Amino acid sequence: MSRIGRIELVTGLDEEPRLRDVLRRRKDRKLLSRAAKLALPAAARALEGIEDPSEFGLFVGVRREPPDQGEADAAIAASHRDGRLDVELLATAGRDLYPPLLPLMTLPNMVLAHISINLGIMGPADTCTGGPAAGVQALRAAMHAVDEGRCEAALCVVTDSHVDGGSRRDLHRRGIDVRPGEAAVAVLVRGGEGLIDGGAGCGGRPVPYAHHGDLGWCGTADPLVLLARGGQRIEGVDSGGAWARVAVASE
Amino acid sequence: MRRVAVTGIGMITPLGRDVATTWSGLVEGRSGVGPIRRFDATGFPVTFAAEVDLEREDADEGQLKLDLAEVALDEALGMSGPLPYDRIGVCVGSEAARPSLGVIGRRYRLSEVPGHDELARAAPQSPSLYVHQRLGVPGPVTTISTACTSSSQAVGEAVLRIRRGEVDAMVAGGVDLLVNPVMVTGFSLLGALSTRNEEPQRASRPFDRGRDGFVLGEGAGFLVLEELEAARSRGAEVLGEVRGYGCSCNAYRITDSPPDGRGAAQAMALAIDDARLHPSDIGYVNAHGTSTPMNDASESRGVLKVFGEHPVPVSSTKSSMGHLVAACGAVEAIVALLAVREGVLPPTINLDQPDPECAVEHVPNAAREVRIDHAVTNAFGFGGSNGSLVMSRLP
Repeated sequence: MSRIGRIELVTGLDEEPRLRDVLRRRKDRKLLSRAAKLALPAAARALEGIEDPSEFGLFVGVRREPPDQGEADAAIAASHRDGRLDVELLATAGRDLYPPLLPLMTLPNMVLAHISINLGIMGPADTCTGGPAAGVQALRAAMHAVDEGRCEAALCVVTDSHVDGGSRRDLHRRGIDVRPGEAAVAVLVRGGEGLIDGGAGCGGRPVPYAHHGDLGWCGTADPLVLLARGGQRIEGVDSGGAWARVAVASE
Repeated sequence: MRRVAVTGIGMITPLGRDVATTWSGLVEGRSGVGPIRRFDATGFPVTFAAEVDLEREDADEGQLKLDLAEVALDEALGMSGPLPYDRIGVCVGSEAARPSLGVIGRRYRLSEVPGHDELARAAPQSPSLYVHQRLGVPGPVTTISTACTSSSQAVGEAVLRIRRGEVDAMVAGGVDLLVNPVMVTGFSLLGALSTRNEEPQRASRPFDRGRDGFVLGEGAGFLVLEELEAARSRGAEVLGEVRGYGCSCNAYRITDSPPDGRGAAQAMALAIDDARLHPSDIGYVNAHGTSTPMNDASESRGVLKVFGEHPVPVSSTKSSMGHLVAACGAVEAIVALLAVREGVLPPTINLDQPDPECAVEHVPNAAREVRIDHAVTNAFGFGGSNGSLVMSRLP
């Protein structure tokens, strides 16, 4: 059975995440979505003291592409003619104003990419998307990778941010009346003699996931926020009947 | 270890709306690339793409993606027949649907926000949930979003679930639909697309000295996967086996591949090792082969690193179909399986002058008949995600 240690929780409500010590190239900061800005320091903290994580696995859970934060508004404004978006203008005036790096900021696997690049992780990896289930699935994938010997250790990072206008709007449209929050949780999973011995078994079943104290709605990160905040029971939310079984230990 | 059989395949690609049409197009060396029909691309830096034939265009992008998924899923499930299992999982490689220009315009001009249903259809997990609903059987539902590697990893993760005994069968695949003005603008600004506007059908030319970028494509592909003995017990026709899966990260740069091809080599080596095979057992590599200068050179070095002492034929079917992005891994896994099953290696078309930086054994411009037992198929994504699968013949 794999073991879990060094659970790191980063929230950005009160302060901007510190990225200076984590980013290899400072100019890459402009490529980071809010979720990536939370995830990177959480991942770095979970790996503190480890000299070479290059063969570790990396399993990430995210909600989806970060919502439009208005980056393309200038391009869209310049592409209007007679009150309608005009394809010809988009190809000319709009194109000149379209932020060329926007696609790189918004692909869902960019959180994985930034962690891999900045922390030097090259092992088995994937990114699960799709709400709170994705967080649990990423943790399951990390644990299986270790248990099946595909890597000696695996970092699971789950991150989500709902504090921007677009996300608040989408929550409202979906009828979810909660205080928007944000969080990233990084969990290092190791096999055999792990960082932390012991731990209690936790089973899960597909039920609506629990509330989460005062952090607000952290979406994909919520199940692991529970885990990070004291080894509380984690409820499996894998849609369609999957279950999660994890060994929990808190430092 | 439980082995994983393929009992159903389905696809819709720029070459055709089913497996047979796509396969014959690949073997005959046809191109599915042409001038963009979906919108007036005059004035855009890139005026061509590899589009699929949509039966309707009046729905939102999320619904259109589901339409594509439905075509490929119907074919795959029709081939496998009814699945008599209590636990069938779903794993789909997909990303969020990109809103059309009209939707963006209304949002901007009228502050119109998307409704609940539109949000749900556009979500990356929408195709996974659609497949799950179609099956009507309990089982885990997972969505993998690793850009161009998404559906290769979806197939790989599905294999792992069957091996573990979590499920009796999995439906795995991918879908993507990207040919719209915003995505053409975005990808061309990144410098990733070919600009060979004067001869679109010759634009996708992986490994060729004159390659200048990929051709945006779209489509869907699904595989029905079952535990081998269970499939045989129910009398299903077994098309082949997914025998190995490997994945890795480059840890290099967001858009660039490492020149030494290390991440690609690692994924291929892991997949071959997972299949309990030796590189000399592999008879064909269906390359990611995007036709970008950097990817093809990096992948070639990765291939040489793994197969250096045992040269293996390599081709990229993106030369015919364009780049199906989140769908390419599943579609090309099916292509690799057919290469094994039919004993025919589809060619890399437009490969007139092989680039010395891509010094692998090519299958240029004409299909090659050869009996093989195992093929590797690669998918590599922006951000440095790599996935490889080994598709095998079963005795």
